[in-house]
Amino acid sequence: MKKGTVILVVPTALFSIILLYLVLWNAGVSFMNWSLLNPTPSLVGLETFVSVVRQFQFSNSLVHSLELSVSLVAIGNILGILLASLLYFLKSNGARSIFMSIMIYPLAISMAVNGLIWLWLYNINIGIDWVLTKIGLPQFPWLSSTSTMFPSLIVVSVWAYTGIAALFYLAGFMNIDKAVVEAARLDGAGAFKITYKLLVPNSFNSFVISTALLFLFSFRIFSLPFILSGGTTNIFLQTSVLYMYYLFTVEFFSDATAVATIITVIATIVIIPYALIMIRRWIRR
Amino acid sequence: MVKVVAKNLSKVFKKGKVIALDNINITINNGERFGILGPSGAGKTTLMRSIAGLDVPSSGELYFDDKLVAGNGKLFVPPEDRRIGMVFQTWALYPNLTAFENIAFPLTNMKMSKEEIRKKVEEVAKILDISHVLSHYPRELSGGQQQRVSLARALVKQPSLLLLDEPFSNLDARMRDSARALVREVQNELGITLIIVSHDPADIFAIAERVGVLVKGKFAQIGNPDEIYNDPVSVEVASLIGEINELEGKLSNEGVIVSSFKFPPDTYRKDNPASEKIMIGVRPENVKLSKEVINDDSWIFVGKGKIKVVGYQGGLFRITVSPPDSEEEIVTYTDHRTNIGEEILVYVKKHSVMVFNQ
Repeated sequence: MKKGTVILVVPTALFSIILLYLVLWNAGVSFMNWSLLNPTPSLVGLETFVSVVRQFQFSNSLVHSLELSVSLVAIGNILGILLASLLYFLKSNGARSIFMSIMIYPLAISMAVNGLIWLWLYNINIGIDWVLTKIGLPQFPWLSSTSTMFPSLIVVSVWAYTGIAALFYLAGFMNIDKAVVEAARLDGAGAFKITYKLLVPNSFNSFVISTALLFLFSFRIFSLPFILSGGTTNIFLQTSVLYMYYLFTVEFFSDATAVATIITVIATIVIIPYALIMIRRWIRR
Repeated sequence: MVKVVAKNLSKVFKKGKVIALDNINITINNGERFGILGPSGAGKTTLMRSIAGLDVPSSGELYFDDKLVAGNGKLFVPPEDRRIGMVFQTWALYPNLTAFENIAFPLTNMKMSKEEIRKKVEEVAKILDISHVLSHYPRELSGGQQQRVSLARALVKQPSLLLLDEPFSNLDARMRDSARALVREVQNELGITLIIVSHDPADIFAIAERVGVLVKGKFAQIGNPDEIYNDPVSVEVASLIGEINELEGKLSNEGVIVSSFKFPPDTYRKDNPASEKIMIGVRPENVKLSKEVINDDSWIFVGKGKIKVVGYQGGLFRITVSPPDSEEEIVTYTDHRTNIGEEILVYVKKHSVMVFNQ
């Protein structure tokens, strides 16, 4: 083997081994019955899975996770396209980078900090509601009502993650031959038509990447619901990862690993086909 | 079907550090075929983009007929309202649309029924002989077909001005001639004003009735192609519009001396040399090489030369000849083979040597 190959393979192999070991260890524990009540675990097959899946909190949190993922992928992509096209048609490069930086700023800071910021903004006395009452509009309950809690979480995650979709769409748009867009202008197409007829259809790569990332970010989301609900036990904001952590804190170790295994499997099923599509497209170029 | 008038048109980039167009004044008449020739970086594309409205001139005015379309750094008529058909150097076809949809695209932006659009697209496709590839995507088309789809897209909206930006440079040599003929034919039929930008004189000769030679953002010369070919104002213009041998010589009583070559006064085309150091230009077709003495008044002997390089190109031998013991080179074409190192008599045609007083 060549030296370069060795240098490349050894760290990758080490990294993969550690990662795989942890995943397999996690999977192994999930086939046991390890918990506070049972400190000497033994293999029980799928029993832990069956009991976990039967819990109300499991399906409740999984539905939340999926709802959040679907909403973020849908809204994030649409808003990303919208923002990217607004930025694309800006004449000044300077203004474009300034606006882009503002949009991806939430990603640069800790999600816990984002959560705290929105906790203040959602406060009925000093946040957005303060502005609403000042201009004579009724207050909106945000996190104070069980029915608006979850949509409020979606709003925050959209705010936090849309920037990355916009970034990838903008990169995709900028990659398209400028002459093509100019030709469309000469042909009398407006900005809106250029966007939906040319820019978006020719940015399939951006769609794939931003969808994959938005899904991953939202499916494994932790800090935002944790901060916004003030812990792991609020069943209206509980996502799968929060539920897993909750099971761990109350020392139902096997139950927690069973949830973790299910999350891993779902994420893998969604992400692997995406990765394959991407790799195939890159190779074909 | 539109007259394009530029008055003191200038375009600067990077806050005045780069001057792309420098006080351009030109009138391109209704229905004219106008060529813009120039080396790369001379501002050809900037001029064409300013006319199209894709670039805004920094100063000066641009009129379409009597209407001010851009002036003093402002755009008065945006590109989409200028009724322009443009063929880009890269053709700029919409990659996600079929050839049919590409050609139909400008029509879908007008208020037109689907039936009418179909009719128009098929009509123009028939003229350009691409009817059989209308359902294909651009990536499935050959270079020539892509170029014709691009031309069809430019023509289908019945523009009053057709702009061609190096439209043949991405075609292989074999296809270029037929593409040029096609463009001319279509222009002739529709009578639209046509502007072609190119660095290839062959494009200009095949298409343009009048040509402006753009050098460093200024028109160095404007005229019909033959006129510029035969009477260029400078060596640079001369070499842009066709191959030329540039020689630096000294003036003497017997003519211009270039090393051991002597160009007597009856070889001068028009101007007489005025300074002691002089630049002369001879087109390759005005040079003749011979082993024997030529007894013909129209060919004038300039000296004995030595053959340095022999190439083969387009059915002819391309021969580089130099005066013995000198670096000066003269290129010409002959139909018979000669050997490197051979001594040969060099003749030039009477009244064919261009004299450039600097």
